Amino acid sequence: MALAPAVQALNDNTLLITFGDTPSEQLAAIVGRSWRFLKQHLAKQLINAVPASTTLLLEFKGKPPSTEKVESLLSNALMDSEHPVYTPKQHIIPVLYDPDVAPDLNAIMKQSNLNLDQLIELHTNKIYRVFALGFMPGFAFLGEVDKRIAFPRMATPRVEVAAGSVGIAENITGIYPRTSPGGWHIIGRCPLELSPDFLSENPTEKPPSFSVGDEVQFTAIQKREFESLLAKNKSPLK
Amino acid sequence: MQTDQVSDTGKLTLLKPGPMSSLQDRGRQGCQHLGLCSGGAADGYAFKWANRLLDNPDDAACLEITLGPCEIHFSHAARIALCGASSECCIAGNPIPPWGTWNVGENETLSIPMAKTGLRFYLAVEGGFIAKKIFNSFSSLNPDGSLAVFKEGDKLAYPISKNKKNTLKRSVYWKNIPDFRAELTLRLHPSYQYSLFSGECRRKLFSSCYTLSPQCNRMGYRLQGDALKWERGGIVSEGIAYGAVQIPPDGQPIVLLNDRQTIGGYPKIGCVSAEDCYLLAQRRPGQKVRFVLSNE
Repeated sequence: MALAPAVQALNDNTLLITFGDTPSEQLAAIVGRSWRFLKQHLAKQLINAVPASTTLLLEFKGKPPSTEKVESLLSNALMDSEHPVYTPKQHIIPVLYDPDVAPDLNAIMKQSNLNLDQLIELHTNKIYRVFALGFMPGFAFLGEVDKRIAFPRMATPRVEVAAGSVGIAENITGIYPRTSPGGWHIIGRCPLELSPDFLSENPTEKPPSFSVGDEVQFTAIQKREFESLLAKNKSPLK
Repeated sequence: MQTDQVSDTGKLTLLKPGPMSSLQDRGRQGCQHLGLCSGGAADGYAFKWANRLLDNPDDAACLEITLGPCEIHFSHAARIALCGASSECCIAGNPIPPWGTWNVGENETLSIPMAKTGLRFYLAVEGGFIAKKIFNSFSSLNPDGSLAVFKEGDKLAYPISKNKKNTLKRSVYWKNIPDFRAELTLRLHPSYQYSLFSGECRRKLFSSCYTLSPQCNRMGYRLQGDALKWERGGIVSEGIAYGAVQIPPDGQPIVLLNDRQTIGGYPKIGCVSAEDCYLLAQRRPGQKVRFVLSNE
């Protein structure tokens, strides 16, 4: 594999490994693989590890291992790349694509010269990969979005984006797990509860809990189904 | 936040919790890949001393009290340490200087007036507070991942001191007590996009004096001063290290601290050393900071 990950020390106890420049399915697989391998092999020394689209951050309890040591671990991690270290989970996410809940839908259709059906088709027929989790807990960066609907972040972020909003920024799509400010173009809304509950017994088991490397596909739903799922989600008997 | 009643424990009650008080330690582990910040004591230095003075384990939880005023009632006698910010703190009306250990009697109240210098007090009890750990940490957490702060009447459990004889008072040697009023120099480790910023930008960073803006909190400290221009395009979102100095489009640097986002797509010009981040977290809006290149 033609790959030379660059290791740099960010501060006294943190390293950043850069695997490439542009987010892609292939890079995400490499980052995910390296993350799981290093987490296992450096478990005792690591405090936190943060995989992202093209990078992996490693925070250590004390002084980090040498660059040479990390590079040698990485080459081991990537040598046997046919052998999976993680079986990805598959998530199906229902989305209502409707201007009533998606403030940027009309603008995106206009800019891309697509009608609603074509836009839905482009957004739903791809299986996306979870490249990273962050921005806020439970927010998954999903790639890659079809070029025809890959719009940059808005120049001025919105003060409030509703929980469940499905947005696009560059070649990444994602769902806001809770209401927050945000600059992504909003094209739909998901009625599911996506905000993790970190005080529950097993916070990562709560569906749909995304993990880096997982597969996500969107499916279009109608308003009635959206409302019934939303009601179920809000129900105390959930 | 309530802790289950256990025998042999005392109860501390926050009669007045102050605007932002939480339980903190060295922070959560193995959580940042979920987008959850690690939290932890904003002033790791004062936190360390509070535990060390009491011979507590160095990861025992402390109460981090931002600004004050705060009033804390103890149900049972306890040996405590108070480090960090200073004000005219009293136990049952008797003044206690900061950065030392003190004995609180049964049913006595510790009062912490608004901080005069510094911003955050660290209160430790002998044996450490008893609370549930999440991601191997006592740091206060809401279900959604945000910081949980104590409300009026909240209680915390602490072990009742068995060693009644250990009433020896200890304090931190004066030379080891930082002066939070002094102008602060932040040692910058050049990393992230440092080499991609223009030479002029880097010169500006090291020659300017920055003022702490009113937007300073546990997530990050926003600075005001000479704007630093990033002349390249967007960068791919990447993990954010403790102390990272982020340069948003307006060019005003932000030093990112304990409750920062785990990943972000703004350029970063390097990271401030942890020791200097601790000192920064005790500064207030309006105070001045400078950057110097770390020689490590």
